[in-house]
Amino acid sequence: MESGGIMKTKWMLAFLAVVWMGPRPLAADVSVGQAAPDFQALDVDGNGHRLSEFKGKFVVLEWFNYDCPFVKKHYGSGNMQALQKKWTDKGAAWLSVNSSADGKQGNYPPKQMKALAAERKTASTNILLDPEGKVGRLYGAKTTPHMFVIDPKGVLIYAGAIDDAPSADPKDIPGAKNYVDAALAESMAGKPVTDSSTQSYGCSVKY
Amino acid sequence: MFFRRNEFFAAVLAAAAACFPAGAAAESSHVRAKLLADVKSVQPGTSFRAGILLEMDPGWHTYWVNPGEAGLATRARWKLPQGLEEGPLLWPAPEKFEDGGTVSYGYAGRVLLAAEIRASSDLGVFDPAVLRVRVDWMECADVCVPGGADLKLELPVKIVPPDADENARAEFARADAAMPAEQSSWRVSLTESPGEWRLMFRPPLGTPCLDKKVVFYPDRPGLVPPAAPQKWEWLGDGCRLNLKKATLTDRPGVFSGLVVRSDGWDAEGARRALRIQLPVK
Repeated sequence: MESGGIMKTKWMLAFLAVVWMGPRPLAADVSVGQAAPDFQALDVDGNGHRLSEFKGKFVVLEWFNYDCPFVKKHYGSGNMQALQKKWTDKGAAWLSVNSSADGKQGNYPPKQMKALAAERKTASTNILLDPEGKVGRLYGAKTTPHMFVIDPKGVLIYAGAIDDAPSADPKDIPGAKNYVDAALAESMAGKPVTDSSTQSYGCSVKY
Repeated sequence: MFFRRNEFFAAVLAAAAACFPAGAAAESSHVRAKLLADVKSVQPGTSFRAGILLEMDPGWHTYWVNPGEAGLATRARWKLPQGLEEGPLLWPAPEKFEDGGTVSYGYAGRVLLAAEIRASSDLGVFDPAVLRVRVDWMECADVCVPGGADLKLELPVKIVPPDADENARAEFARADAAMPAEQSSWRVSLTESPGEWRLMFRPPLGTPCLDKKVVFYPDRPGLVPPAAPQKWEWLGDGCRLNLKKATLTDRPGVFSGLVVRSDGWDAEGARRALRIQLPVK
Protein backbone atom coordinates (compact mmCIF):
# COMPACT_ATOMS: atom_id res chain seq x y z
CA MET A 1 0.00 0.00 0.00
CA GLU A 2 1.48 3.34 -1.00
CA SER A 3 0.74 6.71 0.44
CA GLY A 4 -1.14 9.21 -1.74
CA GLY A 5 1.97 11.40 -2.17
CA ILE A 6 4.17 8.69 -3.73
CA MET A 7 1.39 7.55 -6.07
CA LYS A 8 0.90 11.11 -7.25
CA THR A 9 4.63 11.46 -8.01
CA LYS A 10 4.64 8.22 -10.01
CA TRP A 11 1.72 9.40 -12.14
CA MET A 12 3.46 12.75 -12.66
CA LEU A 13 6.67 11.09 -13.76
CA ALA A 14 4.80 8.74 -16.08
CA PHE A 15 2.91 11.66 -17.59
CA LEU A 16 6.13 13.65 -18.10
CA ALA A 17 7.87 10.64 -19.64
CA VAL A 18 5.11 10.19 -22.22
CA VAL A 19 4.92 13.89 -23.08
CA TRP A 20 8.70 14.25 -23.31
CA MET A 21 9.23 11.23 -25.55
CA GLY A 22 6.52 12.19 -28.02
CA PRO A 23 5.97 10.25 -31.25
CA ARG A 24 8.87 7.92 -31.98
CA PRO A 25 10.02 7.46 -35.58
CA LEU A 26 10.63 3.92 -36.81
CA ALA A 27 14.30 2.97 -36.55
CA ALA A 28 14.72 1.18 -39.88
CA ASP A 29 18.50 0.90 -39.56
CA VAL A 30 17.88 -2.45 -41.08
CA SER A 31 19.01 -2.92 -44.71
CA VAL A 32 18.81 -5.78 -47.12
CA GLY A 33 22.29 -7.25 -47.47
CA GLN A 34 23.23 -6.38 -43.89
CA ALA A 35 23.03 -8.49 -40.75
CA ALA A 36 19.48 -8.69 -39.39
CA PRO A 37 19.53 -7.23 -35.87
CA ASP A 38 18.90 -9.60 -32.98
CA PHE A 39 15.83 -9.12 -30.80
CA GLN A 40 13.89 -10.89 -28.09
CA ALA A 41 10.18 -11.27 -27.51
CA LEU A 42 7.70 -13.50 -25.71
CA ASP A 43 5.53 -15.95 -27.59
CA VAL A 44 1.86 -16.65 -26.88
CA ASP A 45 2.86 -19.30 -24.30
CA GLY A 46 4.98 -16.81 -22.40
CA ASN A 47 8.27 -18.29 -23.58
CA GLY A 48 11.08 -15.92 -24.55
CA HIS A 49 12.72 -16.19 -27.97
CA ARG A 50 15.65 -14.48 -29.61
CA LEU A 51 16.27 -14.21 -33.34
CA SER A 52 19.77 -15.60 -32.73
CA GLU A 53 18.35 -18.92 -31.49
CA PHE A 54 17.40 -19.63 -35.13
CA LYS A 55 20.89 -19.04 -36.55
CA GLY A 56 21.70 -21.62 -39.20
CA LYS A 57 18.11 -21.58 -40.49
CA PHE A 58 16.23 -19.34 -42.86
CA VAL A 59 13.92 -17.12 -40.83
CA VAL A 60 10.76 -15.38 -42.01
CA LEU A 61 9.36 -12.47 -39.98
CA GLU A 62 5.70 -11.81 -40.71
CA TRP A 63 3.99 -8.78 -39.17
CA PHE A 64 0.29 -9.45 -38.69
CA ASN A 65 -2.96 -8.02 -37.30
CA TYR A 66 -5.88 -10.43 -37.63
CA ASP A 67 -8.37 -7.55 -37.92
CA CYS A 68 -6.67 -5.80 -40.82
CA PRO A 69 -8.37 -6.35 -44.21
CA PHE A 70 -5.03 -6.99 -45.94
CA VAL A 71 -4.10 -9.68 -43.39
CA LYS A 72 -7.58 -11.16 -43.73
CA LYS A 73 -6.96 -11.42 -47.48
CA HIS A 74 -4.01 -13.74 -46.90
CA TYR A 75 -5.37 -15.68 -43.93
CA GLY A 76 -8.97 -15.98 -45.12
CA SER A 77 -7.77 -17.50 -48.35
CA GLY A 78 -5.33 -19.84 -46.59
CA ASN A 79 -2.46 -18.27 -48.50
CA MET A 80 -0.40 -17.26 -45.46
CA GLN A 81 -0.86 -20.59 -43.68
CA ALA A 82 0.13 -22.49 -46.83
CA LEU A 83 3.34 -20.43 -47.05
CA GLN A 84 4.04 -21.00 -43.37
CA LYS A 85 3.64 -24.76 -43.77
CA LYS A 86 5.59 -24.98 -47.03
CA TRP A 87 8.65 -23.20 -45.69
CA THR A 88 8.69 -24.58 -42.14
CA ASP A 89 8.50 -28.04 -43.76
CA LYS A 90 11.67 -27.06 -45.65
CA GLY A 91 13.43 -26.15 -42.42
CA ALA A 92 12.78 -22.41 -42.16
CA ALA A 93 11.68 -20.79 -38.90
CA TRP A 94 8.55 -18.65 -39.40
CA LEU A 95 7.95 -16.01 -36.76
CA SER A 96 4.60 -14.19 -36.85
CA VAL A 97 4.97 -10.91 -34.97
CA ASN A 98 2.21 -8.72 -33.56
CA SER A 99 3.24 -5.15 -32.69
CA SER A 100 -0.25 -3.76 -31.99
CA ALA A 101 -0.04 -1.66 -28.82
CA ASP A 102 -2.36 -2.30 -25.87
CA GLY A 103 -5.78 -0.90 -26.67
CA LYS A 104 -5.16 -0.76 -30.43
CA GLN A 105 -6.59 -2.91 -33.18
CA GLY A 106 -5.03 -6.35 -33.43
CA ASN A 107 -3.77 -6.46 -29.85
CA TYR A 108 -5.02 -9.43 -27.86
CA PRO A 109 -3.86 -11.04 -24.61
CA PRO A 110 -1.61 -14.09 -25.18
CA LYS A 111 -4.28 -16.78 -24.57
CA GLN A 112 -6.71 -15.12 -26.95
CA MET A 113 -4.04 -14.54 -29.61
CA LYS A 114 -3.10 -18.22 -29.34
CA ALA A 115 -6.74 -19.22 -29.82
CA LEU A 116 -7.12 -16.88 -32.82
CA ALA A 117 -3.98 -18.36 -34.38
CA ALA A 118 -5.23 -21.90 -33.81
CA GLU A 119 -8.63 -20.99 -35.32
CA ARG A 120 -6.77 -19.91 -38.43
CA LYS A 121 -4.64 -23.08 -38.46
CA THR A 122 -1.50 -20.94 -38.39
CA ALA A 123 1.59 -23.00 -39.12
CA SER A 124 4.22 -20.56 -37.82
CA THR A 125 7.08 -21.74 -35.66
CA ASN A 126 6.23 -19.10 -33.05
CA ILE A 127 3.82 -16.20 -32.60
CA LEU A 128 5.63 -13.33 -30.94
CA LEU A 129 3.94 -10.53 -29.03
CA ASP A 130 5.52 -7.10 -29.33
CA PRO A 131 2.96 -4.69 -27.82
CA GLU A 132 5.66 -2.12 -27.01
CA GLY A 133 6.64 -2.11 -30.66
CA LYS A 134 10.35 -2.67 -29.94
CA VAL A 135 10.83 -5.37 -32.57
CA GLY A 136 8.56 -3.59 -35.04
CA ARG A 137 10.44 -0.32 -34.74
CA LEU A 138 13.80 -2.10 -34.87
CA TYR A 139 12.89 -3.58 -38.24
CA GLY A 140 10.93 -0.60 -39.47
CA ALA A 141 7.76 -2.67 -39.85
CA LYS A 142 5.22 -0.27 -41.34
CA THR A 143 2.32 -2.44 -42.38
CA THR A 144 0.48 -5.66 -41.72
CA PRO A 145 1.54 -7.72 -43.52
CA HIS A 146 5.22 -6.72 -43.76
CA MET A 147 7.66 -9.52 -44.54
CA PHE A 148 11.36 -10.02 -43.86
CA VAL A 149 13.49 -13.02 -44.85
CA ILE A 150 16.81 -13.76 -43.15
CA ASP A 151 19.28 -16.34 -44.43
CA PRO A 152 21.10 -18.97 -42.28
CA LYS A 153 24.06 -16.62 -41.90
CA GLY A 154 21.79 -13.99 -40.35
CA VAL A 155 21.76 -11.67 -43.37
CA LEU A 156 18.53 -9.92 -44.34
CA ILE A 157 17.81 -11.03 -47.92
CA TYR A 158 14.27 -9.68 -48.37
CA ALA A 159 12.17 -6.90 -46.92
CA GLY A 160 8.80 -5.67 -48.13
CA ALA A 161 5.46 -6.78 -49.44
CA ILE A 162 4.21 -10.35 -49.38
CA ASP A 163 3.42 -10.18 -53.11
CA ASP A 164 3.19 -7.79 -56.04
CA ALA A 165 -0.59 -7.31 -55.92
CA PRO A 166 -1.39 -4.59 -53.40
CA SER A 167 -5.07 -5.09 -52.63
CA ALA A 168 -7.42 -6.55 -50.06
CA ASP A 169 -8.99 -8.91 -52.60
CA PRO A 170 -8.10 -12.61 -52.26
CA LYS A 171 -8.86 -13.05 -55.97
CA ASP A 172 -5.59 -11.21 -56.65
CA ILE A 173 -3.51 -13.91 -54.90
CA PRO A 174 -3.26 -16.66 -57.55
CA GLY A 175 -1.98 -14.31 -60.27
CA ALA A 176 0.45 -12.47 -58.03
CA LYS A 177 4.18 -13.00 -57.68
CA ASN A 178 4.84 -14.01 -54.08
CA TYR A 179 8.07 -12.28 -53.06
CA VAL A 180 8.63 -14.41 -49.94
CA ASP A 181 8.26 -17.64 -51.89
CA ALA A 182 10.64 -16.35 -54.55
CA ALA A 183 13.26 -15.09 -52.09
CA LEU A 184 13.34 -18.38 -50.19
CA ALA A 185 13.35 -20.54 -53.33
CA GLU A 186 16.13 -18.50 -54.96
CA SER A 187 18.26 -18.31 -51.84
CA MET A 188 17.85 -22.00 -50.99
CA ALA A 189 19.00 -22.77 -54.54
CA GLY A 190 22.10 -20.67 -53.96
CA LYS A 191 20.94 -17.90 -56.31
CA PRO A 192 20.78 -14.19 -55.54
CA VAL A 193 17.34 -12.84 -54.68
CA THR A 194 15.88 -11.01 -57.72
CA ASP A 195 13.46 -8.76 -55.82
CA SER A 196 15.17 -8.16 -52.50
CA SER A 197 13.45 -4.94 -51.47
CA THR A 198 9.88 -3.90 -52.29
CA GLN A 199 7.33 -1.44 -50.91
CA SER A 200 5.11 -3.28 -48.46
CA TYR A 201 1.33 -2.86 -48.52
CA GLY A 202 -1.24 -3.26 -45.77
CA CYS A 203 -2.76 -1.44 -42.81
CA SER A 204 -0.37 0.64 -40.72
CA VAL A 205 1.12 -1.22 -37.75
CA LYS A 206 -0.85 -0.02 -34.70
CA TYR A 207 2.05 1.11 -32.52
CA MET B 1 -62.49 4.44 -57.08
CA PHE B 2 -60.60 2.16 -59.49
CA PHE B 3 -58.39 4.99 -60.75
CA ARG B 4 -57.61 6.16 -57.26
CA ARG B 5 -56.43 2.69 -56.17
CA ASN B 6 -54.17 2.36 -59.22
CA GLU B 7 -52.76 5.79 -58.64
CA PHE B 8 -52.15 4.86 -55.04
CA PHE B 9 -50.28 1.69 -56.01
CA ALA B 10 -48.34 3.58 -58.67
CA ALA B 11 -47.35 6.13 -56.04
CA VAL B 12 -46.25 3.39 -53.65
CA LEU B 13 -44.17 1.72 -56.36
CA ALA B 14 -42.63 5.04 -57.37
CA ALA B 15 -41.77 5.76 -53.75
CA ALA B 16 -40.24 2.32 -53.37
CA ALA B 17 -38.20 2.79 -56.57
CA ALA B 18 -36.96 6.13 -55.29
CA CYS B 19 -35.63 4.40 -52.18
CA PHE B 20 -33.53 2.11 -54.37
CA PRO B 21 -32.16 4.45 -57.02
CA ALA B 22 -30.61 3.27 -60.26
CA GLY B 23 -27.19 2.86 -58.61
CA ALA B 24 -25.90 6.40 -59.01
CA ALA B 25 -25.00 6.33 -55.32
CA ALA B 26 -23.85 3.70 -52.84
CA GLU B 27 -22.68 3.54 -49.25
CA SER B 28 -20.26 1.52 -47.21
CA SER B 29 -19.72 2.08 -43.52
CA HIS B 30 -18.04 5.47 -43.66
CA VAL B 31 -17.95 6.52 -47.30
CA ARG B 32 -20.72 7.42 -49.71
CA ALA B 33 -19.96 7.14 -53.42
CA LYS B 34 -21.81 8.86 -56.25
CA LEU B 35 -21.31 9.06 -60.00
CA LEU B 36 -21.74 12.55 -61.45
CA ALA B 37 -21.48 14.07 -64.91
CA ASP B 38 -20.99 17.74 -65.71
CA VAL B 39 -23.61 17.59 -68.47
CA LYS B 40 -27.26 16.61 -68.61
CA SER B 41 -27.00 14.89 -71.96
CA VAL B 42 -24.31 13.49 -74.23
CA GLN B 43 -23.63 15.05 -77.63
CA PRO B 44 -21.99 12.62 -80.09
CA GLY B 45 -18.52 13.74 -81.16
CA THR B 46 -17.81 15.69 -77.96
CA SER B 47 -16.26 15.08 -74.55
CA PHE B 48 -17.69 15.66 -71.12
CA ARG B 49 -16.56 14.80 -67.61
CA ALA B 50 -17.73 12.05 -65.32
CA GLY B 51 -16.64 12.03 -61.71
CA ILE B 52 -16.66 9.64 -58.80
CA LEU B 53 -17.55 11.60 -55.69
CA LEU B 54 -16.45 10.02 -52.40
CA GLU B 55 -17.82 11.60 -49.24
CA MET B 56 -16.08 10.41 -46.10
CA ASP B 57 -17.27 10.56 -42.49
CA PRO B 58 -15.16 12.76 -40.19
CA GLY B 59 -12.00 10.96 -39.15
CA TRP B 60 -12.05 8.64 -42.18
CA HIS B 61 -9.98 8.93 -45.32
CA THR B 62 -9.42 7.26 -48.67
CA TYR B 63 -6.19 7.15 -50.64
CA TRP B 64 -4.33 8.90 -53.45
CA VAL B 65 -2.83 7.23 -56.53
CA ASN B 66 0.22 6.57 -54.35
CA PRO B 67 -1.29 5.61 -50.99
CA GLY B 68 2.10 5.96 -49.26
CA GLU B 69 3.22 3.43 -46.70
CA ALA B 70 -0.19 1.95 -45.91
CA GLY B 71 -3.69 1.79 -47.39
CA LEU B 72 -4.76 1.31 -50.99
CA ALA B 73 -5.32 3.66 -53.92
CA THR B 74 -8.95 3.99 -54.99
CA ARG B 75 -9.50 1.98 -58.16
CA ALA B 76 -12.09 2.62 -60.86
CA ARG B 77 -13.04 0.11 -63.52
CA TRP B 78 -15.28 1.72 -66.11
CA LYS B 79 -17.85 -0.27 -68.05
CA LEU B 80 -18.89 1.95 -70.92
CA PRO B 81 -21.00 1.12 -73.95
CA GLN B 82 -19.77 1.18 -77.52
CA GLY B 83 -19.16 4.79 -78.52
CA LEU B 84 -17.98 6.04 -75.12
CA GLU B 85 -14.36 5.93 -73.99
CA GLU B 86 -12.88 7.01 -70.69
CA GLY B 87 -9.66 8.88 -70.06
CA PRO B 88 -7.46 8.39 -66.98
CA LEU B 89 -8.61 9.32 -63.49
CA LEU B 90 -7.61 12.84 -62.48
CA TRP B 91 -6.36 12.96 -58.89
CA PRO B 92 -6.64 16.18 -56.86
CA ALA B 93 -3.61 16.96 -54.67
CA PRO B 94 -3.72 14.79 -51.53
CA GLU B 95 -2.95 15.49 -47.92
CA LYS B 96 -0.63 13.55 -45.63
CA PHE B 97 -1.81 11.27 -42.82
CA GLU B 98 0.41 9.88 -40.11
CA ASP B 99 -0.34 6.93 -37.85
CA GLY B 100 2.31 5.69 -35.44
CA GLY B 101 5.15 6.74 -37.73
CA THR B 102 3.56 5.35 -40.88
CA VAL B 103 2.80 8.02 -43.47
CA SER B 104 0.10 7.78 -46.12
CA TYR B 105 -1.41 10.08 -48.74
CA GLY B 106 -5.10 10.59 -49.37
CA TYR B 107 -8.24 12.55 -48.83
CA ALA B 108 -10.50 13.44 -45.94
CA GLY B 109 -13.91 15.10 -46.20
CA ARG B 110 -14.77 14.62 -49.84
CA VAL B 111 -12.96 14.06 -53.12
CA LEU B 112 -14.05 13.96 -56.74
CA LEU B 113 -12.04 11.70 -59.02
CA ALA B 114 -12.90 12.95 -62.49
CA ALA B 115 -12.31 11.42 -65.90
CA GLU B 116 -12.90 12.76 -69.40
CA ILE B 117 -15.40 10.71 -71.36
CA ARG B 118 -15.22 10.94 -75.15
CA ALA B 119 -18.38 10.27 -77.14
CA SER B 120 -17.80 9.08 -80.70
CA SER B 121 -19.58 10.94 -83.47
CA ASP B 122 -21.57 7.84 -84.39
CA LEU B 123 -23.01 7.37 -80.89
CA GLY B 124 -26.67 6.55 -81.41
CA VAL B 125 -29.34 8.94 -80.13
CA PHE B 126 -32.07 6.36 -79.76
CA ASP B 127 -30.85 4.86 -76.49
CA PRO B 128 -29.59 6.62 -73.38
CA ALA B 129 -25.86 6.41 -72.64
CA VAL B 130 -25.39 4.24 -69.56
CA LEU B 131 -22.15 4.86 -67.72
CA ARG B 132 -21.10 2.18 -65.24
CA VAL B 133 -18.09 2.11 -63.00
CA ARG B 134 -16.95 -0.33 -60.32
CA VAL B 135 -15.08 1.62 -57.62
CA ASP B 136 -13.01 -0.06 -54.90
CA TRP B 137 -11.30 1.75 -52.08
CA MET B 138 -9.92 1.34 -48.58
CA GLU B 139 -11.48 3.61 -45.97
CA CYS B 140 -9.39 4.13 -42.85
CA ALA B 141 -9.52 5.97 -39.56
CA ASP B 142 -7.45 4.24 -36.91
CA VAL B 143 -8.55 0.99 -38.55
CA CYS B 144 -9.24 0.13 -42.17
CA VAL B 145 -12.34 -1.25 -43.87
CA PRO B 146 -12.52 -2.15 -47.56
CA GLY B 147 -15.26 -0.34 -49.47
CA GLY B 148 -16.69 -0.51 -52.96
CA ALA B 149 -19.63 0.39 -55.12
CA ASP B 150 -21.15 -0.33 -58.51
CA LEU B 151 -22.18 3.08 -59.77
CA LYS B 152 -24.39 3.84 -62.72
CA LEU B 153 -25.49 7.01 -64.46
CA GLU B 154 -27.84 7.28 -67.41
CA LEU B 155 -27.70 10.27 -69.73
CA PRO B 156 -29.83 10.90 -72.79
CA VAL B 157 -27.94 11.24 -76.08
CA LYS B 158 -28.85 14.39 -78.03
CA ILE B 159 -27.40 15.94 -81.14
CA VAL B 160 -27.60 19.42 -79.59
CA PRO B 161 -24.98 20.78 -77.20
CA PRO B 162 -25.80 19.68 -73.66
CA ASP B 163 -26.99 21.80 -70.79
CA ALA B 164 -24.55 21.92 -67.91
CA ASP B 165 -25.43 20.07 -64.73
CA GLU B 166 -24.96 23.07 -62.44
CA ASN B 167 -24.88 21.12 -59.18
CA ALA B 168 -22.32 18.70 -60.53
CA ARG B 169 -20.31 21.58 -62.05
CA ALA B 170 -19.80 23.01 -58.56
CA GLU B 171 -18.24 19.70 -57.47
CA PHE B 172 -16.05 19.59 -60.59
CA ALA B 173 -14.93 23.19 -60.02
CA ARG B 174 -13.96 22.30 -56.47
CA ALA B 175 -11.90 19.35 -57.70
CA ASP B 176 -10.30 21.50 -60.41
CA ALA B 177 -9.10 23.99 -57.80
CA ALA B 178 -7.40 21.13 -55.93
CA MET B 179 -5.74 19.69 -59.04
CA PRO B 180 -2.00 20.25 -59.33
CA ALA B 181 -0.79 22.92 -61.74
CA GLU B 182 1.03 21.45 -64.73
CA GLN B 183 3.48 24.31 -65.02
CA SER B 184 4.58 27.44 -63.24
CA SER B 185 7.04 30.28 -63.57
CA TRP B 186 9.38 28.56 -61.10
CA ARG B 187 12.27 26.60 -62.65
CA VAL B 188 12.67 23.15 -61.12
CA SER B 189 15.62 20.84 -61.76
CA LEU B 190 16.85 17.53 -60.36
CA THR B 191 20.27 16.49 -59.13
CA GLU B 192 21.41 13.56 -57.02
CA SER B 193 23.91 12.78 -54.34
CA PRO B 194 24.49 9.37 -52.75
CA GLY B 195 21.29 8.58 -50.90
CA GLU B 196 19.52 11.82 -51.86
CA TRP B 197 17.37 13.30 -54.60
CA ARG B 198 17.71 17.08 -54.75
CA LEU B 199 15.07 19.30 -56.29
CA MET B 200 16.36 22.80 -57.04
CA PHE B 201 13.73 25.56 -57.23
CA ARG B 202 14.45 28.93 -58.82
CA PRO B 203 11.50 31.26 -58.14
CA PRO B 204 10.37 34.06 -60.44
CA LEU B 205 12.17 37.37 -59.84
CA GLY B 206 11.09 39.04 -56.64
CA THR B 207 9.55 35.93 -55.10
CA PRO B 208 11.30 34.66 -51.98
CA CYS B 209 11.58 30.92 -51.59
CA LEU B 210 12.83 30.11 -48.10
CA ASP B 211 9.87 31.49 -46.18
CA LYS B 212 7.37 28.89 -47.35
CA LYS B 213 8.29 25.24 -46.95
CA VAL B 214 7.80 22.96 -49.91
CA VAL B 215 6.67 19.34 -49.45
CA PHE B 216 7.17 16.60 -52.04
CA TYR B 217 4.61 13.84 -52.61
CA PRO B 218 6.02 10.99 -54.74
CA ASP B 219 3.36 9.69 -57.11
CA ARG B 220 4.47 6.09 -56.81
CA PRO B 221 6.29 3.90 -54.31
CA GLY B 222 10.00 3.27 -54.66
CA LEU B 223 11.12 6.86 -55.09
CA VAL B 224 11.14 8.72 -51.77
CA PRO B 225 10.14 7.13 -48.42
CA PRO B 226 7.00 9.00 -47.27
CA ALA B 227 8.12 9.12 -43.64
CA ALA B 228 11.63 10.48 -44.28
CA PRO B 229 12.21 14.11 -43.27
CA GLN B 230 12.48 16.57 -46.20
CA LYS B 231 14.98 19.39 -45.82
CA TRP B 232 14.25 22.75 -47.44
CA GLU B 233 17.24 25.07 -47.66
CA TRP B 234 18.20 28.37 -49.29
CA LEU B 235 21.09 28.32 -51.70
CA GLY B 236 21.40 31.93 -52.85
CA ASP B 237 19.89 31.69 -56.33
CA GLY B 238 17.04 29.50 -55.18
CA CYS B 239 15.98 26.89 -52.67
CA ARG B 240 16.58 23.18 -52.61
CA LEU B 241 14.50 20.30 -51.32
CA ASN B 242 16.65 17.38 -50.18
CA LEU B 243 14.82 14.06 -50.33
CA LYS B 244 15.98 10.68 -49.09
CA LYS B 245 16.17 8.04 -51.80
CA ALA B 246 14.06 4.93 -51.23
CA THR B 247 16.28 1.86 -50.99
CA LEU B 248 14.35 -0.28 -53.41
CA THR B 249 15.86 -2.43 -56.10
CA ASP B 250 15.10 -0.61 -59.35
CA ARG B 251 16.53 2.75 -60.39
CA PRO B 252 13.66 4.91 -61.70
CA GLY B 253 13.69 6.40 -65.19
CA VAL B 254 11.51 9.34 -64.21
CA PHE B 255 11.32 11.36 -61.01
CA SER B 256 7.71 12.40 -60.55
CA GLY B 257 5.22 13.62 -58.00
CA LEU B 258 3.74 16.80 -56.63
CA VAL B 259 5.34 19.66 -54.77
CA VAL B 260 3.06 21.61 -52.46
CA ARG B 261 3.66 25.13 -51.22
CA SER B 262 1.15 26.90 -48.97
CA ASP B 263 1.32 30.12 -51.03
CA GLY B 264 1.06 28.21 -54.28
CA TRP B 265 3.08 28.46 -57.47
CA ASP B 266 1.41 31.06 -59.62
CA ALA B 267 0.77 34.76 -59.27
CA GLU B 268 -2.61 34.35 -57.58
CA GLY B 269 -1.30 31.51 -55.43
CA ALA B 270 -4.42 29.52 -56.26
CA ARG B 271 -2.84 26.15 -56.97
CA ARG B 272 -0.93 24.83 -53.99
CA ALA B 273 0.35 21.76 -55.81
CA LEU B 274 2.63 21.60 -58.86
CA ARG B 275 3.29 18.45 -60.88
CA ILE B 276 6.96 17.51 -61.24
CA GLN B 277 8.10 15.10 -63.93
CA LEU B 278 11.84 15.03 -64.59
CA PRO B 279 14.01 12.44 -66.35
CA VAL B 280 16.58 10.63 -64.24
CA LYS B 281 19.97 10.51 -65.99
